Amino acid sequence: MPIDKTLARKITKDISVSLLLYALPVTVLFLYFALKGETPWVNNTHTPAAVNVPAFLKFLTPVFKNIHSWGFIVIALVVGAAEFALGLYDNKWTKSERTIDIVCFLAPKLLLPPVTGYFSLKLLPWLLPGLANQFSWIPFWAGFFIIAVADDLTQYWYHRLHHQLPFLWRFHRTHHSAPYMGMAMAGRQNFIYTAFFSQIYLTATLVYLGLGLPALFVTVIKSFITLSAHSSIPWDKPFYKYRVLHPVAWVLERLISTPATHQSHHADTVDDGVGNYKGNFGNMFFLWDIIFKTGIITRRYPTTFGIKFYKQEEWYAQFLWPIFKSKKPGSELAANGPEVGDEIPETALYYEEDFVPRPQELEKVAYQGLSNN
Amino acid sequence: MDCSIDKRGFMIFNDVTILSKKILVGFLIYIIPLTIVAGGLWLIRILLTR
Repeated sequence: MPIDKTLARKITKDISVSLLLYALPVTVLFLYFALKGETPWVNNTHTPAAVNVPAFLKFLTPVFKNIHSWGFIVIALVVGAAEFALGLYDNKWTKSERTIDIVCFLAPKLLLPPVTGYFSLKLLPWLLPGLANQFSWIPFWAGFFIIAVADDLTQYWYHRLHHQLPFLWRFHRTHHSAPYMGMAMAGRQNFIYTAFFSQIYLTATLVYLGLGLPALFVTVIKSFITLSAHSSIPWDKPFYKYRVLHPVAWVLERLISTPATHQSHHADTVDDGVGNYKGNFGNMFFLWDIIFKTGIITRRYPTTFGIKFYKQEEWYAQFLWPIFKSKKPGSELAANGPEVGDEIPETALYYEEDFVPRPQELEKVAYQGLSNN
Repeated sequence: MDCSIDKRGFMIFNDVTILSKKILVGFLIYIIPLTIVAGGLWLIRILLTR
């Protein structure tokens, strides 16, 4: 399926802007050292920076340090237990969906570490010999800024292209197939989609180059934000409800993914003015959607989730397509199935300058859509 | 759960092509920011050491 020319031009333009965004933290660091006249790399002892954790957060230290192994599982289970206690899965968590969620949650924890471990411990030292900790002179604040932008902007593009390039959609489809929201959604992915996450390898390379501690902090914060954005617990609701919190809400919903803006991405329709499944691609930062005008900010939550053309495909097809195919006729994951089952045209690009408040949606801040067809 | 695969369900050449294209896209999304960030940090050292 060919890509719409207007969309291709928009992608090219946005990629050009992204190159400047990647360079921004490095430029700030250059100006900082240039103005202060410091050259910390001259006598660099390669001692990793240390950060003192406040006493009341000490109990979380082991979770943080082991975020890539059992730390994330602990956080996910705590959030998941809260969702169950609140009865937020309703009766949509069928046996089939449960199997997909559990396989997608657990299998990568076993299958991925050998891959990333080999990349970090064997491949990088072989490809970049003698460059380990070369950038350990970078102050923590700068490393945090560099990793946050590099990691999350890369994930934004990885995610966005899986929606906008038709041949990539089926690798990401599993993440959208569930007719409900919950913390399990954060890990519900086709394994090939997860295994080739560009930002994992980018951050691993920057860790090898000496940005380990900032990367750890970014990973922890990102895990919390992405998990809570996928969660069915609408933690952002009070910010919209109470007028005194509106200024905070205004900043939050533009800066990071909230349940409202991210659930909008998981909606199965765009017709209700809340859903925007062809936009709102941000993971940790929603800011990228604001910059590239791919997002709508909503303070309401979709009523239905998933994909209209879902055929409850087998767990193995959802987890390992194209290695295993679905036997469901007409499925996107079946042999000879359609590349993209969605017939709705690509119209989900929104432009702030054309903002028009809709009377029936007074609570909602929206960007008036312009069709690029 | 039935995991068996019929002939039409197994990977074909077209799937390998899609997978290769996917890996290429992923690699570009990895290498471009890495070049900008690591290259930029290296440039800081060069420019300010002079």
